[in-house]
Amino acid sequence: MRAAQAGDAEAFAALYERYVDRLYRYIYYRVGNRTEAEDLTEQVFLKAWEAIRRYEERGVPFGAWLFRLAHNLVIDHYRTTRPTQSLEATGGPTPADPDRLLSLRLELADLQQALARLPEEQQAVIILRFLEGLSHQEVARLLGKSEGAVRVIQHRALAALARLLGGVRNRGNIEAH
Amino acid sequence: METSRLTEALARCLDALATGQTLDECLAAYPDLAAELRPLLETALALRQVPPPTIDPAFRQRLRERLRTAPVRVRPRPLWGWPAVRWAAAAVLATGLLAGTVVSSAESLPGDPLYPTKLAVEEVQVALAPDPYTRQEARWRRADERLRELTRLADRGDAEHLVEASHLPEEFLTAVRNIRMEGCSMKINLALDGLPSFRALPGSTLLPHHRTTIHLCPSIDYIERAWDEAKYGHPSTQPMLEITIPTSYDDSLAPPGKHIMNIFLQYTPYRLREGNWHQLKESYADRVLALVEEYAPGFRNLVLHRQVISPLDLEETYGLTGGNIFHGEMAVDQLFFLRPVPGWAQYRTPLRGLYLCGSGTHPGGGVMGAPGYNAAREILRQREGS
Repeated sequence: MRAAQAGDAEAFAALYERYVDRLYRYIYYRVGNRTEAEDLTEQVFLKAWEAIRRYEERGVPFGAWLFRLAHNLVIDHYRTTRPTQSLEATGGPTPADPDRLLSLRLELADLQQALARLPEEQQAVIILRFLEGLSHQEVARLLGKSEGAVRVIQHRALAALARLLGGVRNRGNIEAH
Repeated sequence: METSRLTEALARCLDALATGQTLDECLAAYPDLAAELRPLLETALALRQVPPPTIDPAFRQRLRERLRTAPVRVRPRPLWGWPAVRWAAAAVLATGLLAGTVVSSAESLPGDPLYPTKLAVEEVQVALAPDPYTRQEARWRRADERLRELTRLADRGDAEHLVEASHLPEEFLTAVRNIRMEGCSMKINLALDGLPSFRALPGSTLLPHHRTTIHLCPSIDYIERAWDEAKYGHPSTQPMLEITIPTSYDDSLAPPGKHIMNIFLQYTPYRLREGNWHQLKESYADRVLALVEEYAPGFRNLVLHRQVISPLDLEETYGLTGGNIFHGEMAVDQLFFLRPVPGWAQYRTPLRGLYLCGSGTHPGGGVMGAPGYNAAREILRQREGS
């Protein structure tokens, strides 16, 4: 049985390789700092490892199943920790480059700050659609919604972000001149 | 509604941007909405420019290592809600664990602890296929693998124990046990040195009647007598024969000038009053060939080789319970909505997710694939309904 578990672990490691980067990014966008993102990524995989036996009964694609685990963990995380976010505390692995600050480009920290003010599902759609580059259909599948619903959420989310980020981008504009 | 039109236009423009169109090209398609669309699309484009956070390689490696060595509590779980046979023990044999090899989940079967991982790996293989062709190939491989698993499960042992009786309702079990399933036919396959010349229409060159199904049963009384003996547990002294010669259509099945002949015959009861089929079958086959000889003089001299398949062989070699080639007697109380058992004629079973098909279900028995087709339709219907 131990050898069997070892075999299982090898297969699971292959799944890990496929998904870890994407899941880490998703969580990072949501929590906005590296320590918590690493902690939650670890939890997702440990939970998946324990729960993988339940996976087949749901009949959802494996990626979607992992993603939902991550999604739920992030929500739990916010329920159990203080709702205030350490937005400025860490810039993530991308150091604040002075040249970039002056450019028109959005920085990760700005984006994270704005994202955090959107409702759950809008955050998810923004991350998956624009940061991870998934199609409407793929996002609908991941979130368990219709494509139409995803389009509506996308519309609202972009409108909200345009408002929130407008300030940042205009400031960038002024500083650049 | 205006909002929903804007929502749709936004979605289309975003798709267009993703295929390489410029912002202005996209907006040109919606001049009246351009003012509202532009800030939304600009935001989307800006999002795509954000440098993504990257995972710390050391953390990535550490977590991988931790997962590899993480202890897992393996609790064999029943699949589809029913703990079936001794999955774990069979998995051990199937995967060569006894030889001390490290196995992967690839060899696991439904019910094994490793099985969900296998499904997940397959899912990923399909999802990550670079093009539709490869993806379809991955899907076919997955379907093949399901078939292979089924074969291995079926091979694993006696059909009675594919499902443990304790998981089935008593009335269902009783009904299944009461299915009459004793065969009374057997088969003799022959390699011939040439075509037989029949008394009724002599000639050993290829003639039209060699290409037909040839019945040797001169009268209704003949059949009646043949059956009468079988009723009392004796194989018919003069059985009715049904003969085909496949090489009359496809001469590639045998060397030039040689032929293959199949004899299907009735009645040979599975349960004999005296002796057993393993002892009896060869001498009985002698009697059958002598019978053919009466209709085709010189026939026995043509026989180069023979294969005799008794009702017992049908059961032992091909898994046909009771040697019944129809998976259940074809009597009116075991047909149509009563096949396989009353109350369960719709390919379902009392076990959720377990379906039956094959000759034992309507419109079996026989070899036509219709029960499988119907069962697949039933499965789809139930999946869509749930």
